[in-house]
Amino acid sequence: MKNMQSLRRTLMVVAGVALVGAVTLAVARAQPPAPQGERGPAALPGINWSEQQLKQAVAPLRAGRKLTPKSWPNGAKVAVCVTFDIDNESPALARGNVNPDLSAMSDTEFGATEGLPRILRILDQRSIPASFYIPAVSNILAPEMVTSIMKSGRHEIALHGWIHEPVVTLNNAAEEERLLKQAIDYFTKVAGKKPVGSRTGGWAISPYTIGIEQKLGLLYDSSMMAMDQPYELVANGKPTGLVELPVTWVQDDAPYFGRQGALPSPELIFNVYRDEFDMAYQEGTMVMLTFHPHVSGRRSRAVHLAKLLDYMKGKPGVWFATAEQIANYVKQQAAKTH
Amino acid sequence: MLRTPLALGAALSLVAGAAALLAQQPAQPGARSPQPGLHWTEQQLKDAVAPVRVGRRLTPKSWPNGAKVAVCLTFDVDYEASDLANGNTAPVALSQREYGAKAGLPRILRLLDEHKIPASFYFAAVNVMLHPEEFQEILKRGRHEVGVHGWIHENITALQSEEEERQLLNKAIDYLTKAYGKRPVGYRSPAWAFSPWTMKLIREAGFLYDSSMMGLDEPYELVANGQPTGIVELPVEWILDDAPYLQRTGSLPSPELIFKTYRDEFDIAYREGTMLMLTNHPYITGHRSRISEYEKLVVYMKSKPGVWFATAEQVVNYVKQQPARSH
Repeated sequence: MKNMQSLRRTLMVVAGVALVGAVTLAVARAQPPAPQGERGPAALPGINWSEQQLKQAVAPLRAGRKLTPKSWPNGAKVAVCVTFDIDNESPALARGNVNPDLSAMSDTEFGATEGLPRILRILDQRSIPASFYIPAVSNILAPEMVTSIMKSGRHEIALHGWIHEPVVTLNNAAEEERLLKQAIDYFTKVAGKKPVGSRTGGWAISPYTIGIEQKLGLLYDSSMMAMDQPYELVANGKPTGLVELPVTWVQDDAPYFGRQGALPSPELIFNVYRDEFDMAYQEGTMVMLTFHPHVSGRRSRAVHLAKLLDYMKGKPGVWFATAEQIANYVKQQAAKTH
Repeated sequence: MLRTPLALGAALSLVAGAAALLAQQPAQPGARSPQPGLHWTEQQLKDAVAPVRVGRRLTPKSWPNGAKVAVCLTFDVDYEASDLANGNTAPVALSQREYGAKAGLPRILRLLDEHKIPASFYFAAVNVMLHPEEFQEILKRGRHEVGVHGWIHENITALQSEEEERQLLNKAIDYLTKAYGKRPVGYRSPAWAFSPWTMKLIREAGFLYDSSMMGLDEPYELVANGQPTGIVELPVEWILDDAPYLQRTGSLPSPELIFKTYRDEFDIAYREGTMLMLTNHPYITGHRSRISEYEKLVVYMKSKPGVWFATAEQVVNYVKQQPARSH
């Protein structure tokens, strides 16, 4: 848990640093040499960027057109996408498993042993479909996971890297592509179907990620945060054709329940998700929830996950769907109106 | 008293170090030496706090139409600017801020419309530049105020000179004046920080008020080195800001509990007859689970008789005209 959270934090920092480096280089080339006075290396490079440079800095990946359809299937008012990132041991292994404490890994092993089975029971009892984002390595270590997920025929198997690799730190287009392709091949074999969606490890995106997802023929990405409804990703002003099903830290269990997370009460946190749902319902858009089996699979949290699902199921016109189903639907609908 | 030559040497170097520090400037933050203030004289201590202090209280005898309390809803519209200032262009992090413009602000404007409440929006100029359409949406309402929140949400304490800060401030004022159609009268420093020059610069720029300090929870006049400045302070507080609670580093605790805190702040402001200044960020409070709690708070405050919802500018203009109540 803590590992995963701190990994994400580290990734954010590393991502920041790597991109700062890249952008600083790019900008250094683009602009006349900055006056080297008392400042030394620019602490705040952005204060000297021109309007054009500022716009370029944000341009690589932006929110394009909103893709919420006029109506969801069967006139439903809202789409609910319940998703699970089965990180388990992968983030620690990606870093070389440097923690000599053998107990640390058991906290994430829990995701496979208890967390996932409990979650599948909760979903099956309610016939709710879900999307599972799995680093290939997590499944190699516990291959019964994909088998059990596929049993109901309702769920989606999707990508979460080869080993939850931090693509921004990797900063290597060929390596990033090789790893993602390796993951696609692995799941195509064990699940019998090529995955169509990707969620990057740690929700970080390198300058190459979107190009690779396009090249490998993916339908959608689910790592960005610019809206709380489906939208089209725009890269440097060009629509990519990739559907973004956006996530947010607000609806991720990890920041709340990490060992350093502040709130001890799962009840209050699931109230947050309920409020998110209520307004999504009112606005007619979608809810994208992200859970981790090793986090929300714990009993005191699973209880509230079940309550939340019951609450949403209790409303008329709620379409529970996998991310794949939603992406396909919004793409078809958007194609109709254009 | 000094028992060994070693101790004597250590003491001497400490004194020398302290003297060197004092020679620089007593109020300079960030000095590496542990607790330099231990060595300051009474005069030095008083000098250290003197640059910006609380002057007379400006809460009037009564608020307009006999209202009991003034409520100032403000939004620091921090989209991508602060990331860009630091040179951070990580796409996912930027998208988290883009959310403020695309999803958060529209929701906030809708809520303010439904309740017919005016609000003050503090902008770093770069955020207007990146989202001109969303900025127009604020102006269209004709009810809201726009104030200055830096050029690019620069950390002004990291700037190296008075001239650099002046240039960025003037650039921000010029840009926002053009976009807003009039010169903003209010200043809120990025991240609520003041450099040694900020006070001087905002006086120079002719601002009517500042909203970055925390000396009271009612309007007051800023005093600079013992001199009343004529600038009204509408103080803020981290307690009444959504960021420390609800940012990711704030561990995203329960909005339900946080808005109860705001409500309790309001209840005592109401009883004391002063004001409530709330600071929210569209990319934070604009999320569905937070805006619903924010709305509950607005409804709660509206349900009380004698609550004056006003922009910061309106509050400032009013307190400047009215005699302050006696304390």
